[in-house]
Amino acid sequence: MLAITRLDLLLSGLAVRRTDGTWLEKNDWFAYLSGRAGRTNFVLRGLPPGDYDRLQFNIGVPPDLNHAAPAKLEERHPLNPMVNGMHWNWQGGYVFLALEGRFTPLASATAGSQNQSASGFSWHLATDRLLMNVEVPVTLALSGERAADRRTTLRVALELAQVFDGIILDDETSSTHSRPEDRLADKLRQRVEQAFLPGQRADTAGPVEKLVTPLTAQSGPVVGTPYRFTMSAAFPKPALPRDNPLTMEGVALGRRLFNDPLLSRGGKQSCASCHQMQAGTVDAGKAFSVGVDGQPGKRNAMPLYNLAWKSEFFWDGRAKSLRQQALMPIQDELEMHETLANVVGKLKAAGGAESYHEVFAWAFGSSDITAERVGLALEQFLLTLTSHDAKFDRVMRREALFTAEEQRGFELFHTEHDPRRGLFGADCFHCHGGPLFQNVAFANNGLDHEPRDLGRYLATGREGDRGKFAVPSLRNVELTAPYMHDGRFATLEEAVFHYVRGVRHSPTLDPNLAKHPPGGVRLPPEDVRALVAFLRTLTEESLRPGARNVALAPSP
Amino acid sequence: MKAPALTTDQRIARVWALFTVLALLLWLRNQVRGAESEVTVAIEPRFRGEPLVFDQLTCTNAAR
Repeated sequence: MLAITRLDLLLSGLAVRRTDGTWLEKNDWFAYLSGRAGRTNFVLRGLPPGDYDRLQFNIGVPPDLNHAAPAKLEERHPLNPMVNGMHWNWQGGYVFLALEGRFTPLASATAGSQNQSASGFSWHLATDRLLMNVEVPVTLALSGERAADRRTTLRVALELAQVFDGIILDDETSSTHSRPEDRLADKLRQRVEQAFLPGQRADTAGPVEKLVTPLTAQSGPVVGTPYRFTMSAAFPKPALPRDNPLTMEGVALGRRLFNDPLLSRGGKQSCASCHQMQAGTVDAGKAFSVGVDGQPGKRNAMPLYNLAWKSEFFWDGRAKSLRQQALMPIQDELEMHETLANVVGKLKAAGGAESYHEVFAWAFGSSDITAERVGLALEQFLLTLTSHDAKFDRVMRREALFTAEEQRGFELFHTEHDPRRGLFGADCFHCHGGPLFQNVAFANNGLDHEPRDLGRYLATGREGDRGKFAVPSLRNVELTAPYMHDGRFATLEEAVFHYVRGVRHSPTLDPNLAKHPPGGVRLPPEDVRALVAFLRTLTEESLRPGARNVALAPSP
Repeated sequence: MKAPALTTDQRIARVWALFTVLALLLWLRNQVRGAESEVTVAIEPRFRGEPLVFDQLTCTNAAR
């Protein structure tokens, strides 16, 4: 049996053909589609009246863009790696199509075993050689009526049986990363090109779905002094909230609130109690933080670096914005256990040299203290916690060199584990790729056969999300022990070793892990040490405990 | 030889003429844009004609 868990595509080079045989092309057009996220529509604007009979597009991006730095793209551009999660830094270029899932090997299925062990497949079509071209017959008649009166939807089927038919999924066919001489990639390319079929007739009554979510309008003029947000030139542009522009005053207020125990019941704890700036922004050494009532929490305190490049927060992604996220631990009975009304009341009553009334006025233009403004200020502060100057960054800028062991770790990290093709890497980059060493997805990384904590499932209710958790950034990972959502691994060595011997199969295990040999990637001890050495190069020196600037660690 | 200076009325007439041409161009542009269409292309993932359901084991390995 097989199940598909991911279907993502990058499209470019759109053209439609008039019935007279001439083509209308849009070369600067791009789209990112994600089947799982339900992002399967795109909008063609500016089509002149006429009859059209063919639709053409590429799957993938042309070579000039494939080899350009994606960091300059606007934050909502379909090719921005933060939007699509399909850019292979250091491997070069984009993944054009990602098709992943699970399957039961035929031998296991035919044996009729009750306990069939599922494996994973991961097909990533990429590189200039595999730029795919799709042409689909369509019937599209556009009259010259006012555009506002027309809502035309053109349906195209992507028939995946065309891709899978005749391919027996096994160790040989479970993985491709489009390396040269990979015949599976070539075969898949042809099949994908032929898998697009005309859908139902053009529908003129359906709703139009825009690809790009309209930006939230800024609520008014910026109050205060604009804050200079700093980041690495290699990072993609983040989608900072336009209705909450960063200002010096807003960030300062957020920092003060972050460190203020008034936000908790009894004034016992601040956010900083469990996210200690001098300890990697986590609760040093604790698997579960203890709340104001002496009760342990349910999950490990997450690091707070580079949250500007996240769109869902907490291990299960239940918060859709930082302003929302920031207010939740305040109200959580296992954490700060306070009501927002009480917090507002305490802030209003607080004295000091600069009262909160004054500071809120500097940040927001009036002295009103509200829970919403508390969330906005905390959001501003959290967004400034960036980290982008580790040894790794200096090596990339050619200002430093890896040791031989670190270099070995770097190569292992960015190499697939595909013994049949002679590749014995650690395959880390699939989930912790790019300059941020993270992705925006949720994954089951094989901690348990039966997850005790259902993770993402608790937020979405989707069966396929059982046991999945946010993929954290590995920047500063050396400082953020213990590891995993439940802090089960005390050291970095233990965490790495999990992927070598400890991966446990379950129905939602990530396909990129499920395709590995049972247990994991089976690296020798010296390679585990090399990986750990490389991971330590992701630590920003100024954030180490005892470093002079640690208290000011956020963007200078 | 120097061109004779324009009278005030002539200047006003020239400005009006310029405005009229610009307005005409704007109107033409809007007409063309108004006639342009917005088409949504829906790529619908399917498996044997049925809508694809993610995570669901629906078909046999080696599909045939």
